[in-house]
Amino acid sequence: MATEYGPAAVWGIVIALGVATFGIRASFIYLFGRVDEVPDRVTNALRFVPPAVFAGLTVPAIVAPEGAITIVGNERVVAGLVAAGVAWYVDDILATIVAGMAAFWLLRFGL
Amino acid sequence: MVSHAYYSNASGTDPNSGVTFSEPPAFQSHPTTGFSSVVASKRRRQFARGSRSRPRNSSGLLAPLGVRSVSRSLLPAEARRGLRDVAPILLGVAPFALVAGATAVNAGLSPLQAAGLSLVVFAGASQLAAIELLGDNAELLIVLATGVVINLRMLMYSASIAPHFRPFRTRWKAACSYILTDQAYALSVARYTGVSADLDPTARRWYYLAVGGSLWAVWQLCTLVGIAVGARVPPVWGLEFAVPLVFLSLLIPATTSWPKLVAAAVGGGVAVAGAVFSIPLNLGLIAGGIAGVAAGVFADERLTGDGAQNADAADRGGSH
Repeated sequence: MATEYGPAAVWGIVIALGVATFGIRASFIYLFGRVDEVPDRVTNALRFVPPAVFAGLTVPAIVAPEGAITIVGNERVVAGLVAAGVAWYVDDILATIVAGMAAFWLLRFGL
Repeated sequence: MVSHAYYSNASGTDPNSGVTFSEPPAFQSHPTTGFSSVVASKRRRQFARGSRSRPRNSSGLLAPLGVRSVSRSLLPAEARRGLRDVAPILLGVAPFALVAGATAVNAGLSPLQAAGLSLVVFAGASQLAAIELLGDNAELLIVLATGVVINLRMLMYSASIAPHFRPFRTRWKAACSYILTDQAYALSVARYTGVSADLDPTARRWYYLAVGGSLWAVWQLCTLVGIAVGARVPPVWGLEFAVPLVFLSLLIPATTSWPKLVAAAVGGGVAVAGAVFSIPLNLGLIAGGIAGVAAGVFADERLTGDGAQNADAADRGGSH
């Protein structure tokens, strides 16, 4: 995991993502100050963006870190389940990271 | 940052969340499809705790640092109030920012680029996704599109908070937009629409700037610490595994109803299929996001009969 992109490409992404994100944030506050509501259908659909996208970012990185589904001998699956349990019961980002990384390192270095 | 932006979620972020991050409480409760009532009610309590008046606890976290006694004389009441409300959330944002800094340098960004990413974008979940995709040498357009999709949820926050910001001057609107996060949105809307709150525009601005500004400062500082630490951690430690762990801690609080669980299952499944079958251009995540949202909307309509109406009622109830 090391990027081969040069400084121009990385800075290009930083600027472009920054401008796009500011545009999203400012949209209703700043540009469309007179529009009170997003259309209901859009609001309804946007509610499902966080679970769908966060799952898309989480699950492949845990079950298929190298591009093929690996369950047996994949310390990430066990560590991910531990972290999921902690997230469910404690609901704390720090506790989730600590538990997940501790389980990951224990399996990788300790056993 | 979350976000917990999570989504936040707060879950923010996130707000949990997402940046936020981790907790977007105004949009996550869905009374007609109450999934996991334990977690949902825990989250409601938590949100109430973070947003309501707590006069007895006024010494709070800042007291040992002497901040409170200084701020009493220098800062308006609503700014102090905002600092008090946001203090516990800052503790949750810090590790998210540490990961954002550490994994950025691990993925091959220079320290300056990593700091620039936090400063310019200032949206944790999209930063981590961009770091991950840059590390995988994905197409630049895909990196950008993925980050934008993740930040689309902030359209909801912008629309919901816009009426409260309408009297602000243009440059304040720009500043407030820049520091809009899951957590700043959640706390401020709760404050503006609370039972006892009928704040004038200046008071509203002070509260928002105190909350959003301290989140911003902590995010930037902890990113720098993460950059310094991350550059010294050897690759064998697998530090990049912290990225899915952060998203996991945003995902679980964001999955508060059956339709959202369907959205998560489909989104995760399609993204895995994208990784396994090597869908070109790292499009798997975007495909998963679109499929997941569609599945969530569909499941919502099937499960609740007239999903859209109920959802609107829930959202309005939450955000006003």
